[in-house]
Amino acid sequence: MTEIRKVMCCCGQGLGSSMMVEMNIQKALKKLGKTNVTVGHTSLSEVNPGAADLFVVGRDLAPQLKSYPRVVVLKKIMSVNELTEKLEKAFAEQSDTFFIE
Amino acid sequence: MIENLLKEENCVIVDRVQDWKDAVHVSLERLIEQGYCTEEYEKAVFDSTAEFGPYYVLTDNMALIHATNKVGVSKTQMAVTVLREPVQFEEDGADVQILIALCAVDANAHIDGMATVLKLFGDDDKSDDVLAAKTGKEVFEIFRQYADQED
Repeated sequence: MTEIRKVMCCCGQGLGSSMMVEMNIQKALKKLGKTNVTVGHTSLSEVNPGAADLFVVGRDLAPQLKSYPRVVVLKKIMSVNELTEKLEKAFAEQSDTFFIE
Repeated sequence: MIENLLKEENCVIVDRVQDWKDAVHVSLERLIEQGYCTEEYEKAVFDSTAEFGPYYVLTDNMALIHATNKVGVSKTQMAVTVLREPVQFEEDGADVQILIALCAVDANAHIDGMATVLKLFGDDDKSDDVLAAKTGKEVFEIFRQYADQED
């Protein structure tokens, strides 16, 4: 599969939860020993499938990213534990398309 | 520095609000009065709620009231309102008692504030401490304490 080098978090406004998820991803990557991965945050209206290798969103926006190739959906948007678990799965995925809910 | 983003006088405890719209209004009132944002910004919160639903309810009892940075924001700032009586933003929604209002000039200026919100309301949830505060000053002190704390 294509290596995950860039992760994008998105939320409705691109200011609040996506920024906190970005901070949590930095922590999770450290825990998972992943280096050379960049992380960004943006709003739903500005995001496009080419913007990153992996997209992370909250449950409320998950339906809008259904067509994206690689997506992680968070039930608890503030939880670094849930995020770390799901990121680990994402990095272990063999397929180029997945939707981890 | 959390002091640049959150003022002690903008941390308040309120007994109750009439409904979720009143909650949004009350949470933003001080920021509007002090010129950090305008009434247009409040309208943007209502417009976005109509479009997305209550996207700012982030935990079982906390809402980060905010809208886009493109409308009616002049300076980045936060305000905290603790409600004695919870409010719901949708039917069967969370019983929200902690309202954190945010207006941000861009996507990054408020990073210290968001780091503090994460420390307070992440996996190791400290909302009981916030709800136990007796005065606005005590609410502010909790935010300042966690802002200064290392991860």
